[in-house]
Amino acid sequence: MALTKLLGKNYKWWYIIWFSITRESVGFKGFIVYQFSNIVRILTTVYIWYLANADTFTISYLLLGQIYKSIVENTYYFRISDLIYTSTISSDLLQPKPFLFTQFVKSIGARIVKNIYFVFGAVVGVLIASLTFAPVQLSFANLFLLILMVPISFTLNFILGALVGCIAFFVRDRRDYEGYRNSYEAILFAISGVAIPLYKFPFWLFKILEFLPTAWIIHHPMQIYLGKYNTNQTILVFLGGLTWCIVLYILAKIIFKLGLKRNESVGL
Amino acid sequence: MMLKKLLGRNYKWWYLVKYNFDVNSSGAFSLVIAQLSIILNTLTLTYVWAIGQASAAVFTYLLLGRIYRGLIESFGATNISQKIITGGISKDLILPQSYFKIDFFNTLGERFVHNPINVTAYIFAAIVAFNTFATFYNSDPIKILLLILFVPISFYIFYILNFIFGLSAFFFKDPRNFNRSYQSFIALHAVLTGLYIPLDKLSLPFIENTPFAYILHQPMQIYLGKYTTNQTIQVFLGGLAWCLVLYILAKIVFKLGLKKNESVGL
Repeated sequence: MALTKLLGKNYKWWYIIWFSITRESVGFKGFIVYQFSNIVRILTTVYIWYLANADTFTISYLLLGQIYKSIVENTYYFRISDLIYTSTISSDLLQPKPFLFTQFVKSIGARIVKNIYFVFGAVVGVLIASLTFAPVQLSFANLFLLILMVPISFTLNFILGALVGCIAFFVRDRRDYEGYRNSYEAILFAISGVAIPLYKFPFWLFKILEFLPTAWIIHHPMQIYLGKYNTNQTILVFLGGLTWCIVLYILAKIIFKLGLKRNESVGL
Repeated sequence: MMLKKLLGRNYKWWYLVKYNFDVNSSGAFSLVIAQLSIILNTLTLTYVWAIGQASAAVFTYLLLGRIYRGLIESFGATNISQKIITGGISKDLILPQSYFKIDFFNTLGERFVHNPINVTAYIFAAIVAFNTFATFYNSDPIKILLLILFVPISFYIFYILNFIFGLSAFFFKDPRNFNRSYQSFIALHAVLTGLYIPLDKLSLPFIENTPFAYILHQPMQIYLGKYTTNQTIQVFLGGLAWCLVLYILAKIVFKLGLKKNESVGL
């Protein structure tokens, strides 16, 4: 009640977050078991790099990148495509709140519980790897900057997910949409830095990849954390991230409107 | 736009016709698009080995291994778990044929459609990799024949391992718990078969004797000429033995699961 009074008419945003947390807390056992796959994936990826005689910097980039990825994980494309295909999006659109922003707030609540599980799995995986074959280079100097990057990476993940999910407006069959979703996941796997640090790609490709929004999901945060950037470069990375958030948000709004128009134009 | 103007408010009927045509002709396109993700994933994971300057044998193991695995893969655990969870299995149990046989032949037919499509994607990825950053290990043509002879063994082991895991749905109360456990099984399965790392690089000798190794690792070792004639015969016999052991295990788990379900009348 105190919170209701304190937050006033903004209480609804807190309520949305809290509701999403409660909803996502079910299926606890399954999620714990699921973390086993997360651990196996981390260990396998890093072991390949270990066999490839990777240096401590690369190992740290990959292992800590996995923890960071778990914190900012946001697979919103599942939710929005589901809303579109089941037409339940209509009831969300009837509400007097901005759709994308409301969805963003909901996704914060939804991801808090899930991402805690993911972080737990990632930390266990990283601990096993670092205590056996792949020592990690820890640095607390840039930890604060890394924490500041979290909202940017999370938002970018959400907006990219929304853009991918909006494909559902234009692809009528769900199976076809699944193909696009799988491809997006594969692209993200290849170019976000989760499996291969971007600087390991050929130089010309690296120069392109580091300017794409996907680089702000793991690559730039890890470069900041591992002290690869000076103050100016760090500021530029933050500004770049914010710019991508704005540009992609506008783009998502346009595509969402176009998709909605396409659905509404024949009353379906 | 022209059509919209021409048909006016009747445009919706045209739209419905077009919409249903698209719905019923789709699925094929998704398969093509899904192949892109297979190609990209294969290239990404193999590229890591290229950075580490792996040998031609490693690249061949990984890329040819994926093609081989694409040929024999079958993920039937989801089907059987669905049947168990929804109770649809009762309908199959009424039929006067062995449930095991029905499921196996259903899977076989299903994989005849899906596997060649996946194999095409793996072949495409291998061609790209071998022409850019990977090197191919040329082996004796007779080894290809041995590899083909091994296909039924690998297929059956892949199938029965999935089938056994699918039967675990008898013991899960919540389908979400099953689905997430299955994700873990798939991750472990990939590692234990040698999909990401050749098993001989793991320095865990026992890993080469598990049934998982007969899905990809052992066939690739045969192809790469790592075994003598005697060892090759032993691998074939080992594969057959695992087929038998897993079949018996599947029967036991199936009976136990069924008993558990029946005892409370579910």
